[in-house]
Amino acid sequence: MKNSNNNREKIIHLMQTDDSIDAPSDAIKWSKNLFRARAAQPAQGILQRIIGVLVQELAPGKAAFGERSGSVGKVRQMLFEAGDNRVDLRVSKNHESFDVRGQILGRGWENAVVELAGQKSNVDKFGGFAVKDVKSGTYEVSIRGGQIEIVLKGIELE
Amino acid sequence: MPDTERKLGPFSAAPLGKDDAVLVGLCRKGDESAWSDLVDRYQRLVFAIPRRAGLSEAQAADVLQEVFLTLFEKLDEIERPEKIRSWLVTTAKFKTWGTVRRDKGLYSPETEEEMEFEMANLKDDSPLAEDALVLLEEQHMIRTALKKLSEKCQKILRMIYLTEPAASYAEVADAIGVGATSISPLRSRCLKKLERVLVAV
Repeated sequence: MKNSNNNREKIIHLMQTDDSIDAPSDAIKWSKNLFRARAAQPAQGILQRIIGVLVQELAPGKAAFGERSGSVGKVRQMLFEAGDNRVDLRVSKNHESFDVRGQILGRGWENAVVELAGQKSNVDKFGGFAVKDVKSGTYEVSIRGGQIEIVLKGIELE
Repeated sequence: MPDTERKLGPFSAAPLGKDDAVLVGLCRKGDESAWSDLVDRYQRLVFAIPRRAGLSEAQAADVLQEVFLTLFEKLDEIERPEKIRSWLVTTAKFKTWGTVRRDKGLYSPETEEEMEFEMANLKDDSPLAEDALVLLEEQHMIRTALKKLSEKCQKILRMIYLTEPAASYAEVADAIGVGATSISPLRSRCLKKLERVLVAV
């Protein structure tokens, strides 16, 4: 009985003196994303490749479908669907080359590797990525997060 | 990395250790939600170690990330998954000590053995000394055990012991919808349940 009382007193004391706090949410998110973004390099050959489907495109100088306004930007914007994910891709001309920025909308893509025209970039914690100074041509964009790879084909930069 | 088990007063790590072993097993099978649960369960404990040692929030966050990265990479090599808590604490301690030493521009031990020797000879009042870590582990176990109680018990104990100022019995009774005279026996019962989760019988 006395032992039990001591235990309970100790439990109460420990509860009341516990001043620990949660780690920053981005560090927790990063740690959780490890599983998908890095783990997933077990046996080769089980990589899941998802081909993105273009579902919407806004080209510079062209109003979006259903819009009457001519207020269009200088950035070409494409939206792809790839399984449970969506990829928003924006292409802007930069002198003689192109800058490609994008954002992947989906879970667990932080630290994933984006490859375009031989250049590599990492997806940041908000799902964003950028590849700069790409010469004109037709390219494939690959976004690889562990066992899953999203491929966007036929991206014309001209 | 050694997974030295610390003696945790009257508490038994066994019941919670079983849960950990299940989570580690699921992670090994590729269960992403088990990994997420493991991170949620231990992030506070791992983060507290570098913070207690005086590292900044950003440095402590780096330590946390390194610890989970190491865990992830060694997931299949950990021989006693039920002792994952001790493994995480020891790893966080090592990585914190490495950061402290780098900050001070001191020589950093190159081998695990050298590091272990240094860690074993820390002063008793060091925030990384065994007693300080035992306290953090015990508090972690209580947080984890508390989550295993019914919502009603959690609410009663949190309101009475974890709010500042502590809620009155009348306030607790109002919050859970019972008469004020029921609170004292309910509080006792909830404490007993918490103790049963924590103490081996």
